Amino acid sequence: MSDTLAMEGVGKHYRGLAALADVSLSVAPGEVVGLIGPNGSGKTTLLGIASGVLKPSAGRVKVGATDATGAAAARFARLGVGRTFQQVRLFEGFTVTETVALGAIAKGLPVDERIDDQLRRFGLAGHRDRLGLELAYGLQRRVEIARAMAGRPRFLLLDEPAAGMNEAETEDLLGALRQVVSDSGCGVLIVDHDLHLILQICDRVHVLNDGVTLAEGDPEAVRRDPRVVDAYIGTFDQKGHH
Amino acid sequence: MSMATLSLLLIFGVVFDSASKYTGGAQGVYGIPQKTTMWLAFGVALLVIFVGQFFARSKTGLQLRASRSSVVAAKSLGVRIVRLRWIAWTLAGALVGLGGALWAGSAIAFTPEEFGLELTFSILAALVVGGLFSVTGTVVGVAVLTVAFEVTRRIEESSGLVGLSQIVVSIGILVLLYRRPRGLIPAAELPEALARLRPRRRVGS
Repeated sequence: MSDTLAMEGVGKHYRGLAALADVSLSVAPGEVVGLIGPNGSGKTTLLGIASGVLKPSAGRVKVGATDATGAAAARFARLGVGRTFQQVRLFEGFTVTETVALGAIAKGLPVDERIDDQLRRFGLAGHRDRLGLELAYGLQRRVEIARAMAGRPRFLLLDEPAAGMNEAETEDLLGALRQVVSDSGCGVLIVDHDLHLILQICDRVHVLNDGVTLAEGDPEAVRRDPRVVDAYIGTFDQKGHH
Repeated sequence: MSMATLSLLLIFGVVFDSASKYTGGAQGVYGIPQKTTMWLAFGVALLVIFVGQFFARSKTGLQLRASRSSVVAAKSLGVRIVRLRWIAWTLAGALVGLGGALWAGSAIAFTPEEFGLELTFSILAALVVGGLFSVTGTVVGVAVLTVAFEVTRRIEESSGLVGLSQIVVSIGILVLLYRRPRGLIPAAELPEALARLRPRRRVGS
């Protein structure tokens, strides 16, 4: 498909050490893809490459029909790739409204009622005038997602979006994300350690181990894959909880 | 960019010193019409503060402030950091040039040397004292340092203790930075700072 975010044979080496090798992964519009794997398996590196924050040592990255391999992060954003970070990166001195509005401003989009929609969708309307960095960690993560969505991305990359959230907050987030996908039609790539979350929301799951693809497919098949259980899921019970 | 700017200062210092046909070289420029009055300087200062505040709140200013806080996050949103920093650098240069023209209009004579490192570091000291993150901080820093220099200079002149003003002000800056590393006005502009002192209004409407 031409309108996908596609990584083809992507590799990343740091001074001869392979963090990723020959990984291919694609996200189609309206699709939610989960990316899981043990610590150090290359998940965040792959997200960095998919968003232009890191340049691949090998392989190609295509955003729709455009070959964006090696392009800068701002170019990826303008091609329609939005993202959040493992360590929340909000802006110092910015209110929640300013932070979310910046997502639109940076892409030359108008600051209109859609900003309010994002605030409401992610449960931030009551915090709009507060400084983003003064919020609880779970809310900061929501601000990051709302900020990315304000730029109307075609593809949204989420790096551990539920980290720091309790079960109820995670459920709320899942609801908001489902709404985002159905309303905007954007493709979502989620990295998370919370297998429960991944299995609930994802259409497909991609498993990395030591920088290579271990398995991929629908969530249930991946969960039952003996290689995945051995490398990663062994520490989770059958319902997908820790 | 900071290092390049500092290098430009040194390079142009030498260029202006050498271009004696136009700048007077080491002898400098003299006989400048004294057009700058206190009220003119005050009016231009207010105008520049307004421009600074307007720029900081503009879409360009918002993106620049974001890129100062997190380059990676700003780039990932699509902020074209290099382009915007060139705009800010050019605007800042124009405003400083305006200040230079006003200053020249109040001086009988000056040489290129007077626009060298000493003046640059005095301006930087004012920024650091006031706070690097707001226009309000800049204004406060300039006011505090100007008053401090004038007071200690008068004591220096009456007591004959040469260098007293530099020593006292330098120690003052060090103590201030130890107690308030982000300057006297750390981040908020005066209107926001005043707004936060008022009772918090209802949010979520």
